[in-house]
Amino acid sequence: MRPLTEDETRAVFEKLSKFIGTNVKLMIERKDKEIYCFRLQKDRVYYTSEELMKKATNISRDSLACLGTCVGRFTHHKKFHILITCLPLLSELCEFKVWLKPSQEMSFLYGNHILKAGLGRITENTPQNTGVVVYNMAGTPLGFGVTARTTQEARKAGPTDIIVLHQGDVGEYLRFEEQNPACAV
Amino acid sequence: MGGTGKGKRRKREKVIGTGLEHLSEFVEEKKVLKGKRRRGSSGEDGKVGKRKKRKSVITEVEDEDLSGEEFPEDLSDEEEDVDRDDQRSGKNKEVLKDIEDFDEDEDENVEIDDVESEDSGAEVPGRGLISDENATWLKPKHGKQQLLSDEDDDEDHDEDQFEELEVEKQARELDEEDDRVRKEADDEMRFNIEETEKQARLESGATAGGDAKLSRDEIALRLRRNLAVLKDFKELRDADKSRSEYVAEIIEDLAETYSYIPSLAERFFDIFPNEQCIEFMEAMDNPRPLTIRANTLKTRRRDLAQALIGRGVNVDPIDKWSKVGLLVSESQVPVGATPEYLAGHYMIQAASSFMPVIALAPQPDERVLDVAAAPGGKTQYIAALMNNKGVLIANDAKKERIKALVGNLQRMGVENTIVSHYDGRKLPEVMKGFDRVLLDSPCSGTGIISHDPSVKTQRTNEDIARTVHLQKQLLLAAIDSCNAESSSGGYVVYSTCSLMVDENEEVVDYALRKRFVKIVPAGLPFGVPGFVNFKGTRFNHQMLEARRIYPHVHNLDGFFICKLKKTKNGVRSKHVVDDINAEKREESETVDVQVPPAKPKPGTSKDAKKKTRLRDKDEKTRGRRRIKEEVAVDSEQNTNDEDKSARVKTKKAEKERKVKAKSSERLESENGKSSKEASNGLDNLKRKDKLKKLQKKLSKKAAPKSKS
Repeated sequence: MRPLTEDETRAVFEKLSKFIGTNVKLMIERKDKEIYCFRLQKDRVYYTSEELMKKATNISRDSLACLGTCVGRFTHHKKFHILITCLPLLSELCEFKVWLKPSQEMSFLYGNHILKAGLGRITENTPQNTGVVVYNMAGTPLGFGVTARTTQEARKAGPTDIIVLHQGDVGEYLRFEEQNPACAV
Repeated sequence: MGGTGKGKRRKREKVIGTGLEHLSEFVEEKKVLKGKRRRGSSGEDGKVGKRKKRKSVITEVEDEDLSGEEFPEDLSDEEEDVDRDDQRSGKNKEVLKDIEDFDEDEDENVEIDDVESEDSGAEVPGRGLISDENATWLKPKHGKQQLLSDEDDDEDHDEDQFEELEVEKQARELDEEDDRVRKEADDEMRFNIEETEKQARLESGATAGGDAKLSRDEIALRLRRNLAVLKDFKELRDADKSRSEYVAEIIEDLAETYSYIPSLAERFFDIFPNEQCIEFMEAMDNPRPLTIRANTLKTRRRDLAQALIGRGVNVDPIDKWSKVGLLVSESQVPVGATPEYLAGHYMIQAASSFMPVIALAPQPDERVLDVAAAPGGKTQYIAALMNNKGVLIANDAKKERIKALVGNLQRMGVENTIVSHYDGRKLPEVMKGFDRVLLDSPCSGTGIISHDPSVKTQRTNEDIARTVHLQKQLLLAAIDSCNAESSSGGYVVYSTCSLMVDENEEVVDYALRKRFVKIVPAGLPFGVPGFVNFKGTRFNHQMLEARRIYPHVHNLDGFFICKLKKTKNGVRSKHVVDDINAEKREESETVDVQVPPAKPKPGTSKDAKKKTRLRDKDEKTRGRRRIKEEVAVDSEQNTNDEDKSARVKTKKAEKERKVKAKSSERLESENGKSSKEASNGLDNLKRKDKLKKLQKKLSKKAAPKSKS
C-alpha cells in the first residue's frame, strides 16, 4: 500500500471528474471535515479515511485485500478503470443523472446499454459523452455510463436509440463474483 | 358356427378393445353400487325377479347410450355402434318411460351410474349388457349376432346369481389375488418382527446382523419402543438388557433412520436426550425459513419490505427481537438477484447468524475485529451497527472466500473496513488492542445440517477433534488481540454453527483457564443455557450464561454464542488459575459446605457408595499434592513482575487454606474440574524435581516475609 504518484493521481482525478466534475475536490475537502485519502494497493486505488489507512499500515502487502472503498484499478498500460464499487461515491457527488424505467432495469443490470424506450428521466442539459449515474425510478443507484446523446437529442430519438452507453452496473457483483476486481489478494 | 364364440370374442377384444382395460376400478365401484341397488330393490319387493333385474340393466344401457351420444368420439372407432345407437334412440324413450314408472330410486342410481360411465366409453353398454330383450330391437350386423347371443348365454348363467360381467369377474379375481398376497405379506412381516424380537432378546443387543432385514417402519417402531422404555426404565426394561444396550440400539436406529454416521448420531443423542433427539433430527431434515437482513446503511426495513413486495417477494418482519430481519415467505423472483439485492439493500442471512453480532453489540468509533469474517454477513451487520464509523478489521484465512467477502462488503456500502488475509492464529502478532472481537469460528457445521446434509455422513470424530484444536487456538488468539483496558469494550464473542459440546463449552472452558476472561450475559432474547455438566465433565459454572440455539426449539439454525469479557491482559499461568479457583471456593464456601459433596442417590447400590468414597479419598490426596505444587510453582515465578499482585493473593489464599484445610479439601472433591486441572498440570517427573528444589527456597523466603 502506498500513496498515488502524481501521474496516477492525475489519471484518477481525470476519470472521476468525468462523472462528478468539479465536485472532485469535495472528495478531499469533505463536508464532514474528515481526512480522506487515496491509496494504491496492487494496482487498485482505494479511497479511505486516514484513520483506517493508518491502521492498515500494520497489515502486510500480501495480506491486505481491501480497505475503505475501491475506486478503480490501473491496467497494465497504466490506464485507470473505474469500478462499480465506487458507485456510492459517484452517486453522492455526480452532476448528471439518468433514471431508468422498471422495464429496462434488469436489462441494464445484465450489462446492456440504455435505450430511449427505457429512459425514465434525465437531468436537464446533459451534454454528450459525459459520465452519468444511472438510477431506477425509486432512486437507487444501479450503475454508471456515458451519454451518447444530449438531453435535447434524446427527446427526439427513436425508441431503440442508445442514449447511455453502459460502463458499469451493480449486476457485476454477481457476474464477476469469481474474479472480484476490487479484491487485492 | 358352433362353439361358445369365445375365440371370436377374444379376437374382437384384441382388435378394438373392450374399452375397459384401464377401468377395473370403475368396475369395482359399479359392482358396489349394483350391490346396493340390488339390496334396495329387494327391500321393496321382497323378491327380485329376473325381469326386474333385466329392466334395471336396460336403464343402464339407455342412459349410457345417451351419454355416449354426448361423447361421439368414444364411438367413432366403430361406426356400426353409432348406427345402432341411432336405431335405438327412438325406442329408448318408450323404454325409459316404463322405467320411470317402475322405480324412482332406481333412477337415482342410474344417474350415478351415468356419471361414472361417462369416462368408461360406449363399449360398456354395447357389449356386456345387451340382454335378450334388447335383442328384439338391437340389430347387430351379421356375424355379430351370433357373438352377442353367445355372450348372453354365457352371462345368463352368471346373472342368475350375481349378474356379474366377464370383466367384473376378472377384476374380482384379481382383487382376491391381491388380498391374498397382501395377507401373506402381512403374516410374513409379523413373523419377521417376532423373529427379530426373539433374536434381540437372545443376543441382547447384538442385532447388527438382524438390522439389515428390518424395514424402515420396523426400525422406527423399535426406536419409539426403546425410547419409551428409557423413559420408565425400571418398569419397562427387559431384564437381561442393560441401559447401555438400549441406548446403543437407539443410536443405531437413529443413525439408520436419519442417515447419520453412528458416531455423530451418538454425539447428538448425548446432547439431546430421548425424544428431543428425534425432534432435532427431524428439524434438521427440514429447511429453515429464508431470511434476509436489511442493510441499515442504505435503506430501512420498511422501505425494503415495500420494494420487495412490489417485486413479488412476500416478506414479513422476523420477530420482535430483530429490527432488521425479514422473513421471505414466498417469492416469484430469485431473492439473490433483485436490483435491491445488487444495490446492497439487503443480505441473505440466516436469522441465527444475527445472534453473535447482537451479542457483540459493537458501538460506533470502536475498533472491532472479525477473525473469521467470510462471507461477510456478520461483518456487514457489525459495520451497520457501527454506522460506518470507527475501524473494523475483517479477516479470513481463505483466499477464495476473501473475494466474496470484499464483494459483499463493497456492495453493501461498508466503508470503515479493512479486509485482511491472515491465519487467525497469527492475528495478535499483527494487531492488538481491539475493543471488541468476534470469533465466528470455523466448525464442523453440525448446526446447519439442513443447509449442508453432507455433514451427516462426513463429520467423523477425528474431524471434530481437529476443529476443536483449531478453535482453541483461534479463541486464545482472539482474546489476545482484545484489549481488556478498553473503556467501552473488552469483549470477545465466540460463536459456532455447531452444537457439539467439544467445539463450544469445552473450548470456552479452555479459554477461561488460559486467559483472564469471564463469561457475561450475551444479551440475547432467547436460547438454551450452555452445559455445565456434560457426560461427567464439569465446566465452569459461568457457562450458564452462554447460549445455545436449537433448530427444533427456536426454528433457527443450530448455534452457540458465548460472550466473554476480558478482565486483564496477559496469559493466565498455572498458579493464578489455582489462586482464582481458591478465591472462588472461599467465596462460595458457606454455601457449598452445606451441600454434601457427593450426595449418593437413593437408588445407588453399595458398590457405588464405595466408589464415591474411594474417589473422595483419591481426590483428597490429590488436593494435598496440589497445594504443594502451587507453592512450588509460585516460588518459581517469583521473579515475574507482572504477576506480583496475583502472588500476594495466592499467599493470602494459602494461609487461609491452611486454616480451613479440611473443608477446602472436601470441596475439592466436589469440584471435579479443579482436581482434573491439577492432575493435568506439570509432568510428574518435572514436578517432583522442582518441588524439592523450590521448597527449600520457599522456606528461606517465607521466613522474612512472615516477619514483615
